[in-house]
Amino acid sequence: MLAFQAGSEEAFVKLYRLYRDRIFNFARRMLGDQAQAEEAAQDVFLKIYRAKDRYRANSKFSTYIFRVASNHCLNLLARKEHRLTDHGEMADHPSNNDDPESSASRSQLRSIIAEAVRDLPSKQAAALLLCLHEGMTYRDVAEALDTSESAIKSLVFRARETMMKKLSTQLPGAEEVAHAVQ
Amino acid sequence: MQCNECQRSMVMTHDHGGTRDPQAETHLQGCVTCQTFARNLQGLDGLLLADTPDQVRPGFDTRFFARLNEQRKQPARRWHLWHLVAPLTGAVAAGVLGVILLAGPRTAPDLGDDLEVAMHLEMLEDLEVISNLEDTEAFEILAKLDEDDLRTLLTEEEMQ
Ligand SMILES: [Zn+2]
Repeated sequence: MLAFQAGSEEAFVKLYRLYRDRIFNFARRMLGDQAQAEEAAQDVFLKIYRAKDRYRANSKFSTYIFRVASNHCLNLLARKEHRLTDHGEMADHPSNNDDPESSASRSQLRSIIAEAVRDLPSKQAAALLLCLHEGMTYRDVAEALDTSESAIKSLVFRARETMMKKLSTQLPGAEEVAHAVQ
Repeated sequence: MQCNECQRSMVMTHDHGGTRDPQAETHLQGCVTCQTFARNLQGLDGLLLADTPDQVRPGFDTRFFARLNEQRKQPARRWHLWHLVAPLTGAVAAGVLGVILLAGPRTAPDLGDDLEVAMHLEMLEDLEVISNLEDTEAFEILAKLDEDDLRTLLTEEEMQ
């Protein structure tokens, strides 16, 4: 038993390294803030650690960890102060290896996207991000967000619809967009 | 077919791949609105995916492992208490496990968390196949095991 426990400790560190950036980026896109996202990502791994012997045996690890991450971000977003945070803060934490020009344009793009994501209902945002950036199937997203596959279809559709309207001026053929999204 | 149905169908195909619903395809060919929607669907993904993954700032791992060490202090106390009752609970767990695996229903009964953990650990201790795996693999596999898998693994163990 001791050997197994020691082994699972190592396994935990490996899983942490495998999933750290994915969970952080998911949280960053959900919360729209680097510092909050880092803390949230750490919270997620601490939760995983605490519950490491209590997996639901029939769930994939990736689905399981994104379920924990989604719940955590949704809870944070449900607290009003996170909604009211200035998402422009992203620009304050550029990565070390960025040149200033690309960092500025990336920061601008991010703040446009972050604003559009922030305006979505949180569950729609989570569903879209898991689908798009994590390449998860509707079924896995449904499991992660504890809802049905058909609910996910609707959430993702409505998220895309709203984002198209919101980001209409950024898309190719911008002038047509407002007309197309009905 | 209405524009809304066609657009929903496009989003589905867009996310899951596969071929487009023939009805949606027919509608799309004659509908400028949905053609624009289709272009914008691609455009939106392009835009969102331009927000490429970022990295955590330096010091992230140090901060995390410091927090983890803090947290470790609490579970350690739980394990200490746990070891006091382990022999008894282990026996109960083994009995319950036997019932579940030999004659029980296909879904596990709603046991307390500690008993569930005990059952997992008891099973894992016996499963050499797991301990010989690479740690990450073992963790991934454990996450996917269901009752049938465990039944098969235990049977194989007994036969050896
Ligand atoms: Zn149409």
